[in-house]
Parts: sequence; C-alpha cells; structure tokens
Amino acid sequence: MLDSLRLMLEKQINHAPICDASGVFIGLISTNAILQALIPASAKAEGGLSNLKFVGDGMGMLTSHLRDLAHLKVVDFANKDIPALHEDSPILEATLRLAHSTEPLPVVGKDGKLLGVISRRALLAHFLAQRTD
Amino acid sequence: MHGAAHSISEVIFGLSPLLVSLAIFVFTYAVIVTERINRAIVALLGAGLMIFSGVLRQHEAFAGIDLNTIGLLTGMMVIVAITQKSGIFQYVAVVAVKAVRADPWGLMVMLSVVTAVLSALLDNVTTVLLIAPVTLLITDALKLNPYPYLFSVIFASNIGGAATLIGDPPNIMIGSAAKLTFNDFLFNLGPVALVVFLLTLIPFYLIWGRKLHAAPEDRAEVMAFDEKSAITDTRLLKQSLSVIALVILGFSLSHQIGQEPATIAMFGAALLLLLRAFEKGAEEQTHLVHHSFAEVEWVTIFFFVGLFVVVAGVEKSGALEILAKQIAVFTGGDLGTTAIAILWVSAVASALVDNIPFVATMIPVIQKMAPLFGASDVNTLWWSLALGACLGGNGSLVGASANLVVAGFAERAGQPIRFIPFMLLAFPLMLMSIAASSLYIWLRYL
Repeated sequence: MLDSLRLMLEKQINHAPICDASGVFIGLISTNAILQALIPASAKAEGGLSNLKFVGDGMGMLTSHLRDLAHLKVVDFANKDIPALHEDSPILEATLRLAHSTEPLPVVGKDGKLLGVISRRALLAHFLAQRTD
Repeated sequence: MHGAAHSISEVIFGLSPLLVSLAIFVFTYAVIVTERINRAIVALLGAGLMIFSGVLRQHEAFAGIDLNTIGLLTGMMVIVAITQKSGIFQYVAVVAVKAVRADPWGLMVMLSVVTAVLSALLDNVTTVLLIAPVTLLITDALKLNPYPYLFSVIFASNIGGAATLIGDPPNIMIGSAAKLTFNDFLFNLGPVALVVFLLTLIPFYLIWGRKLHAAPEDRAEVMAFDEKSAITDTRLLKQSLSVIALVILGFSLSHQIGQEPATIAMFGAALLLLLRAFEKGAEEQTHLVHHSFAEVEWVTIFFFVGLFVVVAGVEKSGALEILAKQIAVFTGGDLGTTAIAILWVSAVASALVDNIPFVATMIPVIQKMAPLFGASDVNTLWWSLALGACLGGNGSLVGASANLVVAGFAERAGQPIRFIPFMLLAFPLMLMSIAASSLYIWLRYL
C-alpha cells in the first residue's frame, strides 16, 4: 500500500487503476482515500466528534494510522464500485461520466482488461485538438 | 392506569374486551420484539387498534398517557440538545483522562465514572452518544483496543441511570406513577447503584484492566490534549450548566415546592431557550427553537405515547388485574418473594426486550398489588422493578437503547460490537449485579 502511495506521489498523480495478474480491471486507488484513512474514525463516523481542536497537532495518531496502512494491500483499499467504460462507448458517455464524478475513467476491452484511463485533461485536450484541426 | 373501570359494552362484534385487548397487546409487543418495524409506528398502531376496536374511548386513551413522563423526557432532551453544543462532555472526559495520566486502566475507570455520573443526571442515550466518540478517540491515540472501553461505557451508563429519577426512562415512569421523588430515588437506589458500579469494576480489572498497556509516547500525546479547546462556546456553557443546576435543585426540592418533575424540566428548557434567544433576531430565534426541538427524540416520545395507550387498554379490560392476582397467588402474598421475583423477572425480561414496554405494563400491575402490601411496603416493589429494569438492560446489546447507540457508533467507526460475544460476558455480569441488588433489597427492606 505504502509503495503505491510513494509511486503516486513520485508520478504526481491522484488516482491509479488496479488490475489483477491477467490485466483485468479491479478498481481505482486515490490519494484522497488514503488521506481519509488517516483521520480518526471517532471524527469521521456519523455522529462523531465535530471539534478536534483539543487534540493538538495529532501527528502521533495520524502517522500511526499511516503505519497501519502498511499491512494493507492496494486491492483492499481500491474503490471497486467504479464501472469501467467499454472501449466502444461513445465519447459523449465518457464526457458525462467525467463531468459527474471526481475520479478518472478507466476503459476496458471486451475481455475486461484495462486499456487505459481517461483523465479530464486528456478529454479536454482531445476536444481542443478536434477544434483546431 | 388512572382508571376506574368503566363499563365496556361497545367492543366490536360483541367480542370479549379482555380477549380483544390481550390480542392487541400481545400482537403489538410481538411486533416490537421482532424489530422489523419501527417501534413508534407499532405502538401507535396498537394504540389506534385499542380505540377502534372499542376497548377504549379516545378520552380514556388520552387519560392513559402519562404526561408527567412525556414532559420530563422532552424537557430534559431540549436542555441536553442545547448543552451538548458547548463541548462540555468532551471537556469533562479529557480532564478525567488527564487526571489519571492517561493510564489505560485509569482511563477505563474514569470513563466509567464520567459516564455513570452523567447518565445519572441526564438521559443514558445522550450520555453515551457524547462519550462513545471521545472514548474511541482516546483509545485510538493510545493504540488500545476500544472494545473493553465501549463495553464499560455501556455498563456504566445503565448502572448510573439506575441511581436517579431522571437517569433512565423506567425510573421516570415509576417515579411518576408511584409519586416517588428525585430524593427518594437517590437515597434508595443511589447506594446500591454505587455498590454495583464498584463491584462491576472487579471483573473489568481481572479480564482487561491488568493487561492493558499504552506506550509512554502515546500517553504523552493524550496528556498534551488541551481540554479548554474542547469548549466551543463559553457563554453557552455557563448558561446551560446554570440551568441544569437549577433543574436538579428543583428536582431535589420538588416535594417542598410541590411541583412535579415534568414542570421543572419543561420550565428549565424554556428558561434555557430564553437565555439563548436574548440578543438574537426573530429569524435566528426561530432557527434556535426549531433546531432545539428537532433534536428531541420524537421516536421515543411517540413510542411512549402509543405504549401508554396500549397498556391502558389491557388495564381497563381487567387483564392486568388478573395478572396482579396471579402474581400474588404465585408468591403467596409474601413481600420478600414478590420483590425478589419482580427484580429477577424484570432483569431477564429487560435484557432480552426493551425495558420500556415491560415497565409500562408492570406499573399498573404493581399498583393493583398495593392494597395487599400497604403504601410503604409497596415501595420495595417499585425499587425492585427499577433495579431489575435498569440493570437488566446490561444483559444484552438490545437490552437498552444506550447499548444500541454505542454499538451503532462503534460499527460506523469500524469497530463493530457483536451480539453473542457481548452477551456471553454481559449477561453473567448483569446477573451478578442483580444478585447484589437482591442482597441489598433483602438487607434494607425485608
């Protein structure tokens, strides 16, 4: 898990797709999900503490939560509820999906294998290129 | 429960009112026990059926609703809803934990003490709603398993709640029906609650306390908590604490000033709202009042309303009179046997099902047994019922609303409390508290 985080920080990306050994898409991991995991559950859960000022800087707790993540595998942490887009899907569908979510859009082939990930920037760059042609 | 027996003649299809009322009663309670449909809906439907079937007339149903219980509950809920925003509960918890230098066993004792005292003065559900998140935060910082702490918070809340008139809904109902005051509860149930509390700490120490350990650097982190930063609004804090102090003073003097607890609690709620409304514009006042009332647990209130009517139905039809006579026959009319039987039956019943419907049914039954024992002896039965119902709540996760609130929060925070493992330890511990209560009843009253 921590290796993946290091890689994401190195590559300056916020999301990364997770695939199984044969390349079939499983889900996405995100820096935001990792950040969420560092927050104490007592504050995060519904009905939890709304004011944490009295805790001070909380570094001990936050770093200990980060250490706990070391035992996890990326697959345990991946958001698996993201339906991948099919390679033949129209570009309008890709645009709608990206406009309505904060995550990038994984694209898979007929066998479910990951072909790539569409980001907002890549899509907009594509539109811009079409216009200037 | 206020009732002279009216003549019953209008029950549908000319059926026996006794049978019809019992059928509605059993059906209502059975559906409540399944927990498939929200309990407030079931109780209100049962109440409606009692009226539509002709067992009760509307005015008789209304007369069955104990407004003293409803008023006291609602008034306290409004006061606590306003007070909790001040951060006082987090403040108290942090001060208590720092007082024992964040020692793991000391933490368990202190969180239990804070929970028990707050549960005695406020509603248990509110107390655990506020203490459970702090408990989880502190055990998180100390890298301790939160389960023993959440377990002890549940126990402390039910034991603390048993100590006073306002600590637990069964006591509110009993106090109102039997005209027992705040001081009556404090002097009669306070000592036994204290003994049971101390007694419960022994197994907690043997099972968990002696093995708990926290690293010095983690304890240092908790010691660095700044309790003053937990207070979000000093003015609100002063106003709330003043009103709570006044209300508790009012409860303890209720006999002298000749006022019922509902009046005192409602007046306290109105006073606190007035203090908060000062210097606020009309719109802000509306917002304040709306939010304060919205935080009242209306599900609980309507559940009470429905239950009171259902119980009024079986009372009027004579079913409870028969039950009271049967209990008297069974115990041979002996005060001691009756008191101990009530204690144990209510404890086991309250561990398995909600204690509120059980107590609502038992109140008129005990009232009907009063002539048999006389006014002072019947109080022994009230204390037995209160102790059984409140302490019995510890027997399982569904035994009391507070238990479910802690379990619900723990689940959302990724620390689920399982039904069977909880009960395997909680039920024997509950039986131990009832054994201690039996001894207390026997030594003091029999």
